[in-house]
Amino acid sequence: MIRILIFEDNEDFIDSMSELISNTTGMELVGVYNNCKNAVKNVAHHHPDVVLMDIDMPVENGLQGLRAIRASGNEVTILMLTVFDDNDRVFQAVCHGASGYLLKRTPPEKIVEAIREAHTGGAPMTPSVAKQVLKLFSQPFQQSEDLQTLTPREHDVLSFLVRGYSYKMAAGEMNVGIETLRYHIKNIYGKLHVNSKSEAVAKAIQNKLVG
Amino acid sequence: MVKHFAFYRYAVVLVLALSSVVSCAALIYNPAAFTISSTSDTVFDLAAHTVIYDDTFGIHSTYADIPAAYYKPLNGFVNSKYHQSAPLIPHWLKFGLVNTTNDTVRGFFFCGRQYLIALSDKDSKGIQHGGLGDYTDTTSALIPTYYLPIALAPQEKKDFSVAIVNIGVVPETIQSKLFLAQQNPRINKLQSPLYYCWLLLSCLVCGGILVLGMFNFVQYFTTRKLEYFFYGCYALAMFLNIERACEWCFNLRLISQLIPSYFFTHATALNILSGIFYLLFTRYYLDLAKSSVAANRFIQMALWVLVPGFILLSAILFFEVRNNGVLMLFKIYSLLPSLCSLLLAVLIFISLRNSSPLLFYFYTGFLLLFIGVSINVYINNFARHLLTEKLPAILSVEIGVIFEMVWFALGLGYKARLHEKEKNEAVVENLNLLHQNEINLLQMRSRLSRDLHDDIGSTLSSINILSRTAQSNLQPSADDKTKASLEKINERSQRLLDNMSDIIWNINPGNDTIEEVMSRMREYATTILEAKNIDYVFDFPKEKMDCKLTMEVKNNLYLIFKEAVNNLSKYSGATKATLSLIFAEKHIHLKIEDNGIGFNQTEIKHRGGLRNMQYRAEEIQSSISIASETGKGTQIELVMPRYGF
Repeated sequence: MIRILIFEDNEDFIDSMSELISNTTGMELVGVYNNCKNAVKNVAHHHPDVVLMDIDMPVENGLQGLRAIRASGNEVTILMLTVFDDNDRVFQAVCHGASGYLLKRTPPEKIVEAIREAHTGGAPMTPSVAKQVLKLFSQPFQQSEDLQTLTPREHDVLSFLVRGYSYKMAAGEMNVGIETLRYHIKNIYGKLHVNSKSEAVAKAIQNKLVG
Repeated sequence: MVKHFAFYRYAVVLVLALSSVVSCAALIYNPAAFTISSTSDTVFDLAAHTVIYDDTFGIHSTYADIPAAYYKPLNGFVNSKYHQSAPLIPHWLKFGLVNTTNDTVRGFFFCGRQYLIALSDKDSKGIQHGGLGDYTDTTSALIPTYYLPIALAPQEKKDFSVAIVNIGVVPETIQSKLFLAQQNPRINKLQSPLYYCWLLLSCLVCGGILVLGMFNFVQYFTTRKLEYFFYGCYALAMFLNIERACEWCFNLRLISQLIPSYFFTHATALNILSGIFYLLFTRYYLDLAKSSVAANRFIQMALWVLVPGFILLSAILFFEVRNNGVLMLFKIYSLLPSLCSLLLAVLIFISLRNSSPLLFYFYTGFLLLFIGVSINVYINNFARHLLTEKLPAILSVEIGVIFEMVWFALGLGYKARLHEKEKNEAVVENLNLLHQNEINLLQMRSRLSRDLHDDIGSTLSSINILSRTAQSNLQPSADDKTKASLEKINERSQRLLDNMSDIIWNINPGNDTIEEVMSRMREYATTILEAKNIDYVFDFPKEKMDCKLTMEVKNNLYLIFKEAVNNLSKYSGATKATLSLIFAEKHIHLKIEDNGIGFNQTEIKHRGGLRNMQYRAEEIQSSISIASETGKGTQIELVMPRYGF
């Protein structure tokens, strides 16, 4: 059973999501909150497996909630919810420890799939986010500081994703299995999390040097 | 500004050349500056060499009956004005001289500083005009005067008719002042090189100040700032002052030839004029109207005295009014401009206590002129013995004027730079503000549109999810109509979501390259074809294509592709698809091919989509061809011009 906790302010969306989850076997909705004011407490209280967190919320938005949860040392899987992915806040969330993101326009069956995938450690990556990630890793300070850099393979993966290749297509081009590709992407996420703790990278993200 | 400096450079070069020519011409025209000396050691002994044989009217007597025809053609002192106005009627002397020696006797007639002199030659009915020379007497160093050279051959007997005109302001009875003097022997020698250098330098300075004045007029016409105009006027007045000094010093005859009393009474009027311009220049240069009420009011008062004074003196000069009162008036007015400028400097010093560089230039200029004037006053009154033959006059006032002019020009330049700087800063500030506003507006618009879409998007996806869950909750026995309706809700809400995403993508200016379009095409096609298990091959250029597209081209190109791929996945029943984008020399070819069932073009049901593609292709001046036959798949090809990339 995957325990799901939602932070979202759109009541309609909450309504639909709760119905979708309750209709899906193997998933359970453990709580819903309209903002991230007590995100750390809420997460500690419900022990969810996956947190779905809207980015835009009143009082305390998803980015603040995400940071608070990660700062408290909780490594729960967090998927950011957003309508659009070409938003620098999606990228900021990815840098600050989000396990992935979920586009609200994704068809319902794909949403369920994505939640399952995230729970087992997969991570989605759309072209616009891949572009921002590539840009961040090519910043000059990336070389000068003691930061994690991309391996050539990871760089290739991102280059393909930027050009709109699907996981399957990219994997085909690189002559690897789709699971290997997912593994690379997960590593990229990990490197982003580590690097974003560096002052220079945090500043670059904040100043929208990338994006 | 750059243009003006270019003009300035050319003008300076021009004036340097002109000044050199003028100074050379002046030397040729007046090769030797004659000095007549009446001191005892150089005076020509009249009695010893000549005898007066005829003195019909007496050498000391006058007569005025010589017809005007004799002196009319002369361009010198004799003009209609002089013999019509009573005090300027020439006094004519008639006498004869005999040279009693066996040598040629050469000498000069002259009458003193305020007299013009001319020699009448009754036989040729012409008049010989007096030249301008220096006259030394025991009381002053060198006084300019008009003289007549005469020459008597050995034992020659000659009649002379000499005209004398008083051009001074004070009427005088002509006394026995017709000297016959020997030419000063030192004068005929060629002057020292230093003299010529000095002459050239003076001409250059004159020309320089003239150009400075002209340049400031040009500046005035472009900037419309009055300080330039009055500085130009001041420079012109000062040009005349210095030019006068040069003519006087080097015995040149340029303006003094045309205006006989140029050295005497006209100088006072000129002095007042330059004083007026000086005050006006100071007023605008220091913006006294804003910065110092007291100084500004003082200038207004001073102008009330000086301007009528100038008009009065000009009238006096024009109508040749002469009496002791007029002389007094001239003396008073010649002092006024200096007094006014001194008082103004003091007032400004008291009322303007800030240390602006503008003030620094003003005071320095003033001080330089003040020093020049002081030296002049001191030497003329207390140290006359310093003036010698070699140093007939110290042009300290003129030198002071030159320095003052240069200093004021520097001050004006500084002020212009200051203005430029202030203006630039203001412009930059405005631009920044404008730029910031633009950014704010853009951010606000993008934010508004996102917020709106965020809200609509969230609700729309909730509808999408709901319709899907409703479908799965339906009893298998539920009627087909409800199922179909739910399917439609699901499909349409999904389509709306996708369209919204397309709109946001399209308005984002970061997405306007062909690379971005290709990326989105791939993303869309892979998602949709993989979901339908259709094998696909992309034939897109592998190398990076770096070119920009307009929003219109980008949008239409993408939407045609989307429509084609959508139709392919929905209706073709194909198992293989080939999507290619080929960059030919002049066109871009977009091809979407499948191995599906194809369609009979006449029986096609979903015409709307095809028409739409046609319409979009026309919008970007492209042609689209749709080839299909039942059972033989479909080939769609768009041929788009390269639009210069």
